[in-house]
Amino acid sequence: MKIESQSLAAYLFGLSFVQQATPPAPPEKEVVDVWRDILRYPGESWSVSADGVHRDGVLDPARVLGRMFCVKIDRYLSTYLDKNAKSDGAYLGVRVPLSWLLRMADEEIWTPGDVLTYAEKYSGGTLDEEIREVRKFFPNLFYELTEESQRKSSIERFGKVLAKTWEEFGERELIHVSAPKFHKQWTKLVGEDREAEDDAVKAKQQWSMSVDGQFEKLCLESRGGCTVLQSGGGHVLLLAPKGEETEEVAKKELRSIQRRFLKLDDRGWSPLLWASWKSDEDKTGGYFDLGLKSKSSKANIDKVIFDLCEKYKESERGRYSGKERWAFFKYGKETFTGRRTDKPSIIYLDVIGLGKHCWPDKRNEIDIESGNPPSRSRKDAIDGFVRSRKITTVIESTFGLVFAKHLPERVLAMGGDEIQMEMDASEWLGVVENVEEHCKELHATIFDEEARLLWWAMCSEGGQIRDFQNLKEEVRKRTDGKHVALMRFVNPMWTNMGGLAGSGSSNGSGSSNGSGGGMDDLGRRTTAPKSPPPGNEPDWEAMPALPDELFEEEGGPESMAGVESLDGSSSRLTLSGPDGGDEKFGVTEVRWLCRWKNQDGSICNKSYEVENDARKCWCRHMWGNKWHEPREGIREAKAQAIVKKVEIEF
Amino acid sequence: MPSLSASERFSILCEAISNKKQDAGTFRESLMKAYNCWDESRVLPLVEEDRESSLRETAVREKEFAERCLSGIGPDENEAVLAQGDLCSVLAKEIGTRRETHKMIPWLGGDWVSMARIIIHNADLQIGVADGEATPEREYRPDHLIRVWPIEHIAGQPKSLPMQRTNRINFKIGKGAHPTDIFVQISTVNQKYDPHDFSWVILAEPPALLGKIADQETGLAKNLWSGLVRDPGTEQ
Repeated sequence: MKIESQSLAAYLFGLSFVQQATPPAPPEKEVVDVWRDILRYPGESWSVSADGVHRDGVLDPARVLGRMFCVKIDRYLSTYLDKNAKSDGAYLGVRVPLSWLLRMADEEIWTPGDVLTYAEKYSGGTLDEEIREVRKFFPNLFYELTEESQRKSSIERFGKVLAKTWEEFGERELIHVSAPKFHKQWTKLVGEDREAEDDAVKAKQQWSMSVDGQFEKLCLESRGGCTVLQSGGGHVLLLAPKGEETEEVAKKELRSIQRRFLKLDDRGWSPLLWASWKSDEDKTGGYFDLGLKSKSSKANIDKVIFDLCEKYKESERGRYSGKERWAFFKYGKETFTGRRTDKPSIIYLDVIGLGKHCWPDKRNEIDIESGNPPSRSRKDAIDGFVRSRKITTVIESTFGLVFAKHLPERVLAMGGDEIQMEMDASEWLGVVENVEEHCKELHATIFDEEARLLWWAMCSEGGQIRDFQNLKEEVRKRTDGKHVALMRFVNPMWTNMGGLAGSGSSNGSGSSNGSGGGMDDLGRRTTAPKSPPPGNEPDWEAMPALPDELFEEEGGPESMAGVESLDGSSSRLTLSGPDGGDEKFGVTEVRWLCRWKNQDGSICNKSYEVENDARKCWCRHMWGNKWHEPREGIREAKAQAIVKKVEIEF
Repeated sequence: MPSLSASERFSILCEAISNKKQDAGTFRESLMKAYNCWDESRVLPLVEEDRESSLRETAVREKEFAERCLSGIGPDENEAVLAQGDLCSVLAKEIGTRRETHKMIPWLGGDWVSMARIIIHNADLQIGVADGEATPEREYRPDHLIRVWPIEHIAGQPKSLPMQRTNRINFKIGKGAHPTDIFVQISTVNQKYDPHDFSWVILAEPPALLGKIADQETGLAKNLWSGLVRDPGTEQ
């Protein structure tokens, strides 16, 4: 079965959640309820189970396919709803997803059959395949909708539902509620030192996998009269009750959410919560926030971490069942057949710039730094949630694809925009290629945004993937659309390129004045080369990119490689600019070298801008990637490291 | 060497890809020219024996580099951004980490995986027989690999599609070399350029493989291609 919206009906049918009557017959309530939920854009923890017991299914395929179907409806029905849809002779001009209006409308006045019939009629044939499948597997949803006259009447009836709810939508204010700054808040909660410990890492993974579902649940349980229009990725869009003061509603909602977060699982803490609103008439808008609330004692933090770790253990079965369910979606011929089991690694997929893409912050630096929530216009909030639902669908279906095709050994973390999996390193290329193909198909069918680099893909053999923000930033700048036109979706990020991150941000932007990177926009070297990663020393002499006439040195040809200078000998490097002119000379650059001696007698010599990094490099050689555990020994370990300070004069 | 025009570079690339008989060294030269890397190429020794040895060394290095990329280890920071004087530079351009004076538009649209495989194959051809087994000759076709194509002209009239505000147009691409038809969707509103202004097109798939994501009736989705008014390698 292929991961596409056409598979939804067949997949649901296969779950056997209800025995359907032989058609023609009215549809069973369970069937109607499931399809209502789907057409209303399934919530974060929505799932369908055969035994009727709701479990917080991790990445439930029914939810993912259901969301794909909604996004496809958005893509092919939105222009009609905006420009052509009429009711009683008047143009409606609907400019929000259909599912939002369905969440507002009373269940008594519409049926899934009405919606599907309407969508089929006005989508120019683009939804025919999906709806044909629904008709095949759930024929009773179209009970009394088989005759032309019945369909016509259903379409007219549903047009009126749209007109009524769209009018009401315009009369009610929107409130954007979120639990933002996930990583920073976690650090603030547990502390920087505690955060790095294994149990805290696991606890954070559990928190990242559950927070969105819990947040949505708390919003849905609210009794403040708001309608939850959409939730995902820690953002919830609420439609305030008509005639009430928006600010008061927002405050009431946020306080209620915080209260229930504190009570939830007896955890006694609540994350930072934001609410913002801005009507069309109101130029300034408003916001309200409730900071992280917790008891900061060590005992309490340990309890938070312990409880989440316990939940992590309990949810092991849920994570495993996610893999089981996606197994049905193995599809097509696998070109990758070289599965091995000798190179355990962590494979990492992460959406590039998700936050900025969905929620661009147009405020100036000072306002952003203030820590106050941005107050977005009604239109900006709508656009943000529309972008969010589309990209969420791409993300979730991609994770599903990886489960189906690669069956990761273990899923270490799966948050809103990233997944970390234990797999054999030999799977990495297959993951890259499959994700690439999947994204291409989604762009061709349901996802209407411009093709762009969407994913980071990285493989770390035998190590943990943690701090590589700088590397990401440098590669992102390098592959920015302003400089390169790439028609692909996955951006590989190799740990081997680690030195790029340490090369200074000015370098990544292509400035030839970069302090540490030493190369200009076009890949020509302008300052001394940095030491390569251990065991991968490039052959400097074999680098014709650095024409000899541009590279004058005092002190013998061996310093061509910069080794003598880097070793702190008396030789000095003198470099000319790419055009032969002296650009930035007289500058002295300080570097710190890791002086680890390899088994073959060679010295690591990897250079760093700061001493601490060089010491850490030495410690990694000495004790492996987990050298910092237990944490009590970090200081002593680093003290043993042999490093060397060198100055490079230009 | 005077810089080559985009059309010349495109033709060199097509010829290299199509010509099964081109030897590995010539193939490398062609790719270096096509990717504007010719100026950084190493000067080969004049003595035949030394020349062969140098070509072999280059092939070994290129193969090791391409395999490293495919295995998930990847280039180091220097290989990613600095000129390397061989096909490693070409691969870095497809990866997207190398820069050019103007916006870089790699011929395979960033399909670094295919380029890495091409480089490995070429290296195998250069390195020669292993265990007495000959490396199979190249079986590439430009329309199965290249994603940046010159537009010859627009054929026929735009066709209105059932999707609102969308037309389908037919580009004749290839300019003599490997001419082919492609069908793409184009919005009928808010377009910065008239499709007649475009002289090049960048596709999400090579023309011969477009059937995987589009059919001729509806054409390639608007978000899976883009047009260039000016030549690749010039200011956009």
